[in-house]
Amino acid sequence: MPDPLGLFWLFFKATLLSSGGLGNLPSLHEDLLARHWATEADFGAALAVGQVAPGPTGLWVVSLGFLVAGWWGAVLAVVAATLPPLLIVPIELLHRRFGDLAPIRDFVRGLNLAIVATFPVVMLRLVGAHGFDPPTLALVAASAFLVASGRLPSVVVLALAAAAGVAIFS
Amino acid sequence: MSQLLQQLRTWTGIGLQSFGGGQATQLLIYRTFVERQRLMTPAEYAQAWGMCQLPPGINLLALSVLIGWRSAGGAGSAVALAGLVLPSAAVTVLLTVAYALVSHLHVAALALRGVTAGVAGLGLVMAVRLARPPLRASRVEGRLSLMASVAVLLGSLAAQVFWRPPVFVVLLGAGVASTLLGWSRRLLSGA
Repeated sequence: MPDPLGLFWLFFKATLLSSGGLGNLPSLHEDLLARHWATEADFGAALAVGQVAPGPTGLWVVSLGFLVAGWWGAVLAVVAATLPPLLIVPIELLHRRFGDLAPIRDFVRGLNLAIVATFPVVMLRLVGAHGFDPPTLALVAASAFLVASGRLPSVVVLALAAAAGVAIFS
Repeated sequence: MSQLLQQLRTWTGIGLQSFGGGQATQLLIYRTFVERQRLMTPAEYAQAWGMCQLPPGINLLALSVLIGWRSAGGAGSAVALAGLVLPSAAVTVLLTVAYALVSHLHVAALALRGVTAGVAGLGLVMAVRLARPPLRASRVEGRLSLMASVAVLLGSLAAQVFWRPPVFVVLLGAGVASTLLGWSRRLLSGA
């Protein structure tokens, strides 16, 4: 079992330098895999649970925390995910006093663009755990198409992907 | 006190009823605080949501903190955040426990392989959607700003492919580069 303080720091650091609910994925993916505290399968499961559970999908880290270190991991992940958004209070006060916050806006814009750039790499590693066989790649493409078309909610797309997984890989 | 309790109930309801991710949650928040309680106007809501893109982490949590803060200060923030997060987090853990119970089954492993491929597809779409707002905002600011944003995006990609630094170096570097580029652009235009 990973030490609680180190685990909390990884979750906290990843969220502190992120933007949005999935922005902490690239950092966590890198740090937890390097320490062998989580597997690619843990990430796949946690991201899926985050989509299925009610509330913000960003709470996927709570599922990841549980998979890594049980109940304590979940509690640590909740705390690490809720502290950074509290910075909205100083931002509100700064905004009241100084008006436009152009430098902060520019910083977050760069952060967002970098997260976009890291996503494809993380996604490829996630599916690459079992090798890049044609059925897997077809499933990735089909899911992306269905979600992008907007005709089905993402939860339904994931359920279909699960059924397809059982049918194809068995 | 009774008002805080009521807010707690309101936020708990929002957290538990919003299936289908962030957009569902945002819609419920809008209906509750703009249309029903009339705590804020549509314009104030739009301004608040825009500002909630600035702090790190889940934007919806920042929104709950901000709405709570504006209505009842620190206590309001705490109640809003706890109400939105705790019940949803509890359900998230229960679902994970359920998964952990069956994860050793062969059929669960196969389903997870399918789901992971699905999640990857979802993530790729998400990346495109994440890229749109910053690129659109910088296009509105003019050609220089758009060029800066495209350079930051391509630079982050290139850094990963050719140099492979730790992720936080890429993120921090992109943030700092974007801040400096914005600063020099405003300096050039004399604004």
